[in-house]
Amino acid sequence: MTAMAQEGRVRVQISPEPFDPAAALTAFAAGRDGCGALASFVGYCRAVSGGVAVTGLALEHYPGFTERAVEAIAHDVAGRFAPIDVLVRHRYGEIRPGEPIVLAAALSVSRAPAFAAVEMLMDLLKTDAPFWKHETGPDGARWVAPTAEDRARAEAHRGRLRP
Amino acid sequence: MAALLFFGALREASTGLPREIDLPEGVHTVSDLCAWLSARAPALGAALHAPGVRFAIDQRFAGPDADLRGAREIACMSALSGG
Repeated sequence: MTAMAQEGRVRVQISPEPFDPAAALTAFAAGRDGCGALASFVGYCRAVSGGVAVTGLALEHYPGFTERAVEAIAHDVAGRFAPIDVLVRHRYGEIRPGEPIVLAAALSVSRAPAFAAVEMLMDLLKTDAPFWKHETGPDGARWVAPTAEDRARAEAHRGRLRP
Repeated sequence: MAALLFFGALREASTGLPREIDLPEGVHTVSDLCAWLSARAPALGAALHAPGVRFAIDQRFAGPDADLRGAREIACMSALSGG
């Protein structure tokens, strides 16, 4: 049995390769049997967006800066819910409909902090992670921007992180 | 000389602009740079004022009043859309 370090672990991986969320979660939880709760979220590339077919998604990133910004988000969330382990896996490059884009997970002693940490991770990634989504469909391509709801959710978390 | 990077919709709107600049006379802050860029490329000017546009200096987020002097890399970013 491995006890959780007070700070927990933070794992961030930003890469272009497709990944298997189930395998990533199994690896993340391996050996952490001191934790009773694993919560996770997987975001997929949709085949339809706003009623329009999506044939492809190009996810632009800012090499170096994107990695550090996502690590900062993951550490902020881990600090907020310590002790907790946090995992973020995020792709960039060309993504096809049906493929995973992002995996966020949290491993904790009990379920409440794990659920809350995953929700906060995703809300902050939506507006604070340096990625740019460019969707292609039958009528051309368009840049995807966060919605007003996305912005409001992230803003609420920022208040909790930096009172 | 600083590298000038554009991401997302701003990259498309900045076609034809230099990717390296010496800071022009009177351009000291992010706001000054936006005004200078807007005067040269009106389409980019509109995009720079869209909601959610962010800036980074030497790979750190920077606000409109941040000082650009001595910067090696200046990034202008459309609204971020991760997740």
